[in-house]
Parts: sequence; structure tokens; C-alpha cells
Amino acid sequence: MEYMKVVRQLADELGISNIFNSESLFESFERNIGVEDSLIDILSTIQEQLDDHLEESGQEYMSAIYFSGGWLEAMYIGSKVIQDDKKMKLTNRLVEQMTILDMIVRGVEYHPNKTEELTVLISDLKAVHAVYLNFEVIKALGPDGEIPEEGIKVTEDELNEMMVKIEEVRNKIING
Amino acid sequence: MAKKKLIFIFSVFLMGFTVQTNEIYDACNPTEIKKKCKAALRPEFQYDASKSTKFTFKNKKQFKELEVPLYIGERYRFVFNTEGLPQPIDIEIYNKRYESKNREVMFSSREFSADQTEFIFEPERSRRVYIDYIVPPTADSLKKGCVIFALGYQIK
Repeated sequence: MEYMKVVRQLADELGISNIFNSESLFESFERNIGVEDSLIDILSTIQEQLDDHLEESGQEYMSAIYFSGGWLEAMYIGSKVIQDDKKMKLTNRLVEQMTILDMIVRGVEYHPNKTEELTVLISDLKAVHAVYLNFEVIKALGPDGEIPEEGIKVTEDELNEMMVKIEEVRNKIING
Repeated sequence: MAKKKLIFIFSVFLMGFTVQTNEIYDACNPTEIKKKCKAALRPEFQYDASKSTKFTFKNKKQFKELEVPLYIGERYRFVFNTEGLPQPIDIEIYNKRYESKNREVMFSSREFSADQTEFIFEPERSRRVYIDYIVPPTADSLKKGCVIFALGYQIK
């Protein structure tokens, strides 16, 4: 319930409280904690409403900023999980997430009003992306290379460097 | 893990321009058309993202490209609806961006009948793809319209 309160507070501050103010949404979320299919349904509904809201209000450029925050937090949580248990599948998923970072950066750069905070965010995201581009296996794949279906092997040092950088950027944001 | 989400990056090439003062006819009603796209995803696919792309028809060919990241091992459905267009355009999906050599076409709306307005594509491999909208030139008065695209995913 505490998490839900924080979600509402954040949504208020972002000006999207209309999406998160529905009691039924929160009740449904609480009722289905642990039921993966239902949670996916609920998250899809939230995503759908958020996309519609941003499009109708002519604020689609905000989407990449919201997403960059969610992406960083998810990467941070994922990093913590693989620190305790280095499962190959999850490590691959985490590394695969890095492949969309260039698009997130371009999406954030698309914002028409670049404040100082936004400029810093872009620079920090680029620093995280630079760590990924420096992985030996990514350099070997080349600029047009695709990650193979079975995933890629990164060294423990590379993985640690990525996780440290993500945590650094995430902490910088949450500490204002 | 972060929810799959699209960040659309446009590459826009206006191959010429037109100056006219005629009233513009806009055939686009994105809210209603988007509902139809979302309905075409269900029940097998979950909503992932959608994008309305607006066009003003000109007397020169135009081109827009959307970049769509897809995650390995997941199934996707692309739904396009062109009801909001005053005249047809071509929709093509490629494995590489427009300036790349050796890119392969994965889908083309030209393979369907000219009066079809809903197109569905499910890629066999889930990798980054590029959606190209190719807008033909028009000789008559200025017209506007839109294509609505919705993406759905299915976790295997």
C-alpha cells in the first residue's frame, strides 16, 4: 500500500494523476500481486491510458522521459537481483535492455525544451550507453551487429561496470 | 525488467514542398481508429504501444520511418489502420534502417488489395525493425490524414 501511495504522489507531480487515481486500478493491483498474467493486464492498461493521455495533450515527447526513469529503475532492480544470483537468462535480459538505450537517449533529446536537468540526464544516459558500447563482444559485433538469439557473454568486470554506472545515475536522480 | 515500450524515432524527408492556400481536408480521427487497432490486438496480444502518424499530402513524394525495438524471444503483432487517410500510402517494414545496404523487406502493404485499410503483421524473428511510410505525391488540393499503428506483445 505504501508503494501505491508513492506511485500516486509521483503521478500527481508528473501531472498524470488522472491515470493513477482510479481506486479500482489500485484495488485490482493489490488483489493480483503475485498473479503475473493479471499484473501484465493491469500494466498494459496503464500504458495504454498514459499513451492516450500524452497523445491527446500533445505531450508525446514526455514519453521518453517517463520511460527513461522506469528503464533505469528496472535496470537497477535487475542488477541487484543478478548480484545475488547470476542467472544467465536474467543477465542476458539485462544486457539486451541496453540495446534500446540509444533510442531512449534520442527520444529524450527530442524534448523541445532542454532544461539543465534534461541535459544532465541525456549526458548520464549516454555515459551508461558508452559502458555498453565498450563491451568487447559489442565492439566485435560492430555498429550493425545483432545480439544472437542465444545471448552474449560479457565478463564479470564489464557487468559490474555497467551495474555501478546504472546505480550511480539512478542515485543521482533520486537524490535530486 | 522494464516494460517493452517503443521510442519512435522519425526520419522525415520531404522531397519537395507545396505552397497552397486551399482549406485542408483532414480525414483523421485518431481516437476512434486507435480503438479499432487495439481491438485487433486482442485477445492474443497485450497492448505495448501505439503511434498516430499524421501526413499532409503534397505534390512530392514523402517518407517517414519509425524505429521499433523488439525483444528476443517474444512474439509481436503489428496492426496498421489507414482509414484516416484520404488516399492510400505504402507501408513497408524492414530489418534495417533506410540508408542501410542489403536491408530486407519483411512486410509490404502493396501485397494487399488497394481498398484494404487494416494490415496485420507478425514477425517471425523479434529484432529491431523499421516501419517506412511512403506517401505518394498528390496533384489535387491539400489533404491531411493519419496512419494509426499499434503494437502488441505476447510473452512465450
